[in-house]
Amino acid sequence: VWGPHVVRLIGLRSRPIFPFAGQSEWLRPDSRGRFSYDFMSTPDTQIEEVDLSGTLINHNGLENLVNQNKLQTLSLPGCPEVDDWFLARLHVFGESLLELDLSHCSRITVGGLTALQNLRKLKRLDISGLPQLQNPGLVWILLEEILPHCRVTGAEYEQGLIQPDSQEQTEDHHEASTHTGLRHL
Amino acid sequence: MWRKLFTSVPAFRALKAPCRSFSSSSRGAEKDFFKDLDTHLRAFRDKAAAAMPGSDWSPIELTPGLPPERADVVIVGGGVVGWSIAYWLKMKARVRDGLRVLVVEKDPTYSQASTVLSCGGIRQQFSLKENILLSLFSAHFMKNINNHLWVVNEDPVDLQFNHSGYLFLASEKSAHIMEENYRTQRYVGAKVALLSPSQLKERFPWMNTEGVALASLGLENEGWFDPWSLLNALRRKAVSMGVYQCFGEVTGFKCAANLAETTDGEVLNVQRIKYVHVRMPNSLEYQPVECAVVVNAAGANSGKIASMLGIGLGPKESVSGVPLPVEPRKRFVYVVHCPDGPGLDTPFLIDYSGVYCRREGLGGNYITGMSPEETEEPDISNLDVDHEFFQEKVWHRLAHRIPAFEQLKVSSAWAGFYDYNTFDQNGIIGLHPLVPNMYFATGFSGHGLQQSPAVGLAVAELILDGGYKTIDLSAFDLKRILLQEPIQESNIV
Repeated sequence: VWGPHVVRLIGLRSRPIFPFAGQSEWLRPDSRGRFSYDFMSTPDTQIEEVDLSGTLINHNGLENLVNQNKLQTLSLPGCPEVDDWFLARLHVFGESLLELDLSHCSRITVGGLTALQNLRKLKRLDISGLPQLQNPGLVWILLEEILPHCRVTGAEYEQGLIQPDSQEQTEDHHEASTHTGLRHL
Repeated sequence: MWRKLFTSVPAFRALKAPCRSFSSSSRGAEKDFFKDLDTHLRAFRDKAAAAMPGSDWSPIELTPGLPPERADVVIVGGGVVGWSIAYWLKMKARVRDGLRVLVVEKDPTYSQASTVLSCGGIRQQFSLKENILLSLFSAHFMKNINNHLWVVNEDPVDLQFNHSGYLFLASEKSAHIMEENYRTQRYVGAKVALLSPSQLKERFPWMNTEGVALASLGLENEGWFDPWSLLNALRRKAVSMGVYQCFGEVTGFKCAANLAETTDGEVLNVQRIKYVHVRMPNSLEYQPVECAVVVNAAGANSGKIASMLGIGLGPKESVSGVPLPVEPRKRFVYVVHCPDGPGLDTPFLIDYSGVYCRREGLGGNYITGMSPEETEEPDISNLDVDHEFFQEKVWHRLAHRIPAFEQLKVSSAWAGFYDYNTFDQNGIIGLHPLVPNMYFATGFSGHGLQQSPAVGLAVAELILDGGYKTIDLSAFDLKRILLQEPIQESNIV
């Protein structure tokens, strides 16, 4: 399952970009949204990198990609429908996925990031700009602990910590953040 | 009664007022009179329509919170199973007010309800395919929960689902059971992986794998969530679709009895429920609710509801002598804090010794517990926690499996009831032959929460369609209790 099947079902007429193994250029639709079907002549190639940035892909759309067991890079920055259940489905790429970019996917929470423990070969993970993480710094530390070879980017240690110079607001913020922290963690 | 109607509508009293004033503003007073007359007449028309027979209005002063006098389906029990059934009944009925459903819950605070005291886990690692299908359906339901349960103008539902999966550990002697279960689970569609002890050690370095022969890890659709959010989401959606909610206790039933003869010549008393007596909290007042169908989703108290109908109180050899084998069983849950404990990859770990443990939040807190032996079941008259149980039974087994837990602190603990099916620890769904309009949906023995969306749909299909359409749960029918044919699940916690 690859190529045009993917394009039609996900309904992305202007976004998906797939490079194949052994082929270094990206396949992307032209300005009128037409996709060139040259790769139909090589049906056995495996997709290595998929860039779905800004698309509306969700956990159902992954159905089209689950057979790609050589997938190495998955870029999903700014996908509003990518949520925790989508991340839970990524375990099928456990043996091959090396890079995962999840920046600015507003629906992701810590509950979904724990599912990434199944991606044992992951080398790079980008978790910048996730608004539902209450303590991005803490999540960064915990993720680096569970994924041994992975370098997690996008969260700094100071994020989520109370800054020492705003002392008057710390009391209220501390109350609010502990309550919301307990709720959302 | 009609005099009260007339006097309560202001228009008829106000008619006298404009005539009394002889001032020059009589023209203004007349204008007000005609403007108000329209609204007053409309109010009078509505009141007159309400007073007609067939509506719920009555001139007698009523206690607030009484259930309606008649309903089509009365669901006894307002836990997650009861509300799930109410939701699916309304979803299948499609027409607004096509079916009047009433959910009766005796405790408005839900202080002893099993739903909210649950650890909130969901897994597909069962051995019976019905159980696997039930929790797969429930996981899919929760995946798209806002498609099902979102109400206009309200916040979207957030279950706070943690996708960490369940990890079952098997010793040498139960490894073959685990392999067989793995085949069933894969066949039915659950995403599970088997791990050897070395793979386990590589994957979870904080674990002591001594004694473990095989482990089974759920990869997808497994984890834990917030049961209170699910209960409230189901309740909010059901109420928005027109389900009546009543806080009261079911104290009895009024039935029409018929005699029926079995093939053996035995004469049985078949009771059809006509009225459900719902007693108001802290009061002796009760309302008989006339109904067509009653659903027993009372959880740990289902046995008590069944005995109100005489199930189990007859002579020992007859059908009426077999009680509903659902009893409350108390289970303790301890919250422990261990700063050096396992991190974000902690699954819901279930050891072969019976002890279980899962992460709670990101602050080094864990939830743990264990099922006691059959002979050492704790007292069910209250929900007090036995801390000795943790010290003596749970801690050393936990520390053996996760060495970091040798240093920990118990922050808090609570206890809750399982609606324990003493017969075979699986759900009981279906009709009783002696009560042709009471459907049972109980006895889930700790799995009620995770199976509730699917069970709700199954019972709604039974009531409205007469048979199962989505998942075939005939194996869980009540008649297996009467025929003494248990279906056992291996490895339950």
